[in-house]
Amino acid sequence: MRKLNLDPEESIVVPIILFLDATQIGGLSSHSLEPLMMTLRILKRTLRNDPRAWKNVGYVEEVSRILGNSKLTPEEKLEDYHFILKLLMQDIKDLITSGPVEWVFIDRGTGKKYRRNMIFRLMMIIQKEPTDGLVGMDLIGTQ
Amino acid sequence: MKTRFADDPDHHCNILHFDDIDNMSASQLANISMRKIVNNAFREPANLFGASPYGICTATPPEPLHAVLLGIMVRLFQFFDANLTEKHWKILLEEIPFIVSSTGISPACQSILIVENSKQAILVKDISLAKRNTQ
Repeated sequence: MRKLNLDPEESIVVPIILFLDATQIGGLSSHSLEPLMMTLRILKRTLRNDPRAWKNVGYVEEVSRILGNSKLTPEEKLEDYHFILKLLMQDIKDLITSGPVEWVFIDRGTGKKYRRNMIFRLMMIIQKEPTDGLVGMDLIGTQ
Repeated sequence: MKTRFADDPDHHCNILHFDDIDNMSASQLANISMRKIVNNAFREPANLFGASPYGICTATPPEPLHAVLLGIMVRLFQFFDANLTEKHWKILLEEIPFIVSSTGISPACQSILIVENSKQAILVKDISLAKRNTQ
């Protein structure tokens, strides 16, 4: 906060949590959907357990499936995967690079308003499946 | 971290920085089971993860497959295996058909049971056949 010349008393770091997981759209279908969801870490865990606390950012498409090219190497598939992720995360990145966002909190009891500078940063990316695709880890050989 | 260190609380983990990964060649990455991602979605902007130099490497919490199924569970069997003598293994292999049949394991699981031994891998393809042989 010192680097950003912000008063720590009036600034709040807002960690962003992303959730990414593919799911089959039907028992007899080979098609899948991979939604990218986000929430804020400043929300209590009980709130984050509510689906309404999560925002759907978009869906990760498999480029090779769109183009009908299934002969891509794992490296090429990874690059495509990250290309789509980049597009989906652009708004989040713009929010992070745009600097502090002023947010007014209202105490419902007293009606008093508190202006705070919110600094958004990415905190973690959760995936039910292995996170190999995100960090580029090769599952084979980890043992 | 290698699975064999999964039960070592004093094991020192070398957490990779994003810059380390960027400066490594594809073959160097392959040595640590990593792949090269040229346009990593999490590389830019520099403050995406705040002041953390580790970036995506420490932003992905452990998931059940690596941490439990390929980690602690495998280590559990390795530890069990390392502490059994040949006599123990002989007794265990004789008892397995009875253990499996008496614990109500599903027929699908009964059809194949792999017991990994440090000296040899023993594949019992059909538990019911093994059960008949021991009766």
